[in-house]
Amino acid sequence: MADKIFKTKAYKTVNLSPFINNKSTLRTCLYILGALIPQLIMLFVTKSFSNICLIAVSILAVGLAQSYDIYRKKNYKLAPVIILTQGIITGFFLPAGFSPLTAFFVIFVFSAIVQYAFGGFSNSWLNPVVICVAACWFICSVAFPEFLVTKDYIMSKNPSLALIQTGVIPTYGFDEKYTTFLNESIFSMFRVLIPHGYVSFFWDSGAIIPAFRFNFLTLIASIFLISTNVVDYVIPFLYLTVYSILVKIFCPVLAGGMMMQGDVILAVLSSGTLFTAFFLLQWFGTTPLSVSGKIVYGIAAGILAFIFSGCGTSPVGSIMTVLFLNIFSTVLVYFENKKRKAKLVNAMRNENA
Amino acid sequence: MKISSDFSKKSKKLISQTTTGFLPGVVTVPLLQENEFECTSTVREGDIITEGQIIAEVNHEKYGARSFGVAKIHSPLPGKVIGIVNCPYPDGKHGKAVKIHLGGEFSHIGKKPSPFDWKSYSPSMLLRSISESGVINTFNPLSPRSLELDIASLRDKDHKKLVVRLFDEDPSCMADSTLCRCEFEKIRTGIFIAAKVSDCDEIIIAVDKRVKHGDFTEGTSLIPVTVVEIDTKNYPCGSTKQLVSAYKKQRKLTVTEKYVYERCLFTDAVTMLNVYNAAVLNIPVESVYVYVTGDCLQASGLLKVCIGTSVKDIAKQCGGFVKKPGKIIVNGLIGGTSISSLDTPVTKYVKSIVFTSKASNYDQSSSCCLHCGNCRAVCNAGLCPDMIFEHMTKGISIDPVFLEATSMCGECGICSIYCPSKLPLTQMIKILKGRQ
Repeated sequence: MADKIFKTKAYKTVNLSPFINNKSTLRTCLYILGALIPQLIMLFVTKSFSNICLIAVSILAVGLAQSYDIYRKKNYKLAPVIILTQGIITGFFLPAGFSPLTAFFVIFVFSAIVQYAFGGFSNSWLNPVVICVAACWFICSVAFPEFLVTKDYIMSKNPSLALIQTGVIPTYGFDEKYTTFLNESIFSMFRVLIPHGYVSFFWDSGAIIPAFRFNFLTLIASIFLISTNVVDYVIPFLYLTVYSILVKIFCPVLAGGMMMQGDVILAVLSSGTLFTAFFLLQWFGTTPLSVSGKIVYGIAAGILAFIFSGCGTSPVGSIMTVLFLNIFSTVLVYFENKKRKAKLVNAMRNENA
Repeated sequence: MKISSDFSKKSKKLISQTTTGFLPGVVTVPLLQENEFECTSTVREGDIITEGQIIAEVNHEKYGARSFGVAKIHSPLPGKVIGIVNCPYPDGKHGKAVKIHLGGEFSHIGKKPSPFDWKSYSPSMLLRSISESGVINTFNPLSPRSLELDIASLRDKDHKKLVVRLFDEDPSCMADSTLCRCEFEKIRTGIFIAAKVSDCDEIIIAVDKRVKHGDFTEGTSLIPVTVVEIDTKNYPCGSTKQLVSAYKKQRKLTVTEKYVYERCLFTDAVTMLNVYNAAVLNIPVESVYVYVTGDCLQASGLLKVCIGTSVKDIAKQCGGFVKKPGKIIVNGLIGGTSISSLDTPVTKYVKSIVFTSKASNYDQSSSCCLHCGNCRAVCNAGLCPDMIFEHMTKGISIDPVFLEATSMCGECGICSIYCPSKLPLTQMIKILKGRQ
């Protein structure tokens, strides 16, 4: 073999340095796509064919919207991964029963607008998923579910338990077995017991919007994405923390109740809060670039989530949160650049002094 | 600043000694051995030459007065000139080279050297021997320059300092650090010779703080020595800026970094060894120490090879390939060059060659900017490489401050390492710097 190698005339490609790299765009996109696969499988397992059909339609619409760019850029290697990721996430936010034809038309038009008017993929400050889902909601809001949490529920001490007990959130057969096991082996150590129904809620909330359903799988996906450095933990952490704190303190106050009585579990496990935190909030090109910018962005996300999603079970609260956050992000980036410029001016002055 | 182990893995088996490479039957000595100035061959096809004979010199008529001091090129072997050929250079360019067939009697190789007492020589005599020996400064192997020219550029300055870096700037290259362990005495002597020649007030020696070196002041001249310990765990740590900054911090100086920087002659261990060979042993630069490694090779090591030895011959000396190399990278994985042919000869500025397999190579095709902010977060100078790239490629207008600030770029390449889209950020900034 060695002789054959030595006879090699020349290497065809000569690349630019550096020859080491710690992560790639393709890897980032593939990992996000990979993190969505368990939830897709669960949709098949739970026979949610309407949702699967909507996801397929979304992928098709996004693909068609980007086809001109793919043709123009010729060897656009990332395109299939981006189309799949964007299409799947968009489909995950559409409710079962939404007209596939309407979905296709709306997603195609708005994806094309983001692609060609805003620059597409990472060049657009507007999240393409969010704009498509928001448009779907404006066009056909009746297909989306209503807020499940009424004033009466908020006034009760534990709205999520009330929703479980009234059957709004389904309880599965395996729930009792696992709740007993968790209570006996883990929660008993902290002298806490969880009521029946929470395991089901955590596993599959039964919502007609897939992004709201599989919280356990989303959590596993988040661990995978953070541990592989694909997503940054700062924004999701602050978003969830600020939102939880606001819900805990102010939620009952909105309905005339006492402070510090809010149901954090309901807020985090409904409205697609977890899914948004890890798959939507950090969409390429929509977040600030500096750590301080990311901190402000995360806090703002939490506040906006409280405004739009309230105490939980909001159909498009997460979407609206991200939509307004995208606008806010442009302001943040402007100030970020201004700060950076001031630092550079100072550094140059010091160097030339 | 980033921990270098995040992106670069150093060989677990540390090399503790140098190995003299085999003598190749044929060497191809490139006529471009330093930045910009291509030498003209002084020999013709069929000429019989001796080891160490000058085979190429710069044409002063072509380059003018600024070329006075350009290093001469010597024959690494005795033999016969079999032609002036075109060949690929290790920096990716192509150019002329003198092809020599080995034959005849050696002048230096295999003979016991007789050291001269350099202390009895005047600085001008020492400078003359350095000049005659064709010593180049390999502090920045991507932009090598004649040591004589570097010394001359500081001639009119006061409070001059000689800065010697005894570790490698690129964590994937271990030539300087290994050489310093193996040839410490010679390098130390070389430092004092260079200090005497350049008429420096102070010698600054930058060392890896995790490595123990001998005494730098032992048996020295009157020039004060300052040893600056640098944490090489962080990257970048060995650029001119970082060295000056570390020195200033250690000495608690109040003068600006620019003031110190303008008075410094930056060199490395390899150059100091060549200075020693030139001034003490009267041996011109005929061979180089090359750190050869990679997962395709049977063995790694710091080889002393003749200038003009092909990469193919070096690979053979390392036991050949265990698998097909995907890339051959010269002078480090961070700022080095991927060469296109196994016939590429070694030049004076080659410090390392890495043979990487296809499996260990990552996909280098670039995609669009993700606006992830990684490049800004890691940039030591506080630049916005993403904005500069978009400005250069798409013509997006940005504040002129961001463009002017590129002058502060140390060209460490860390922005490109951390870019998930593999955008040529460093290269783009280099182009912009060149325009300014």
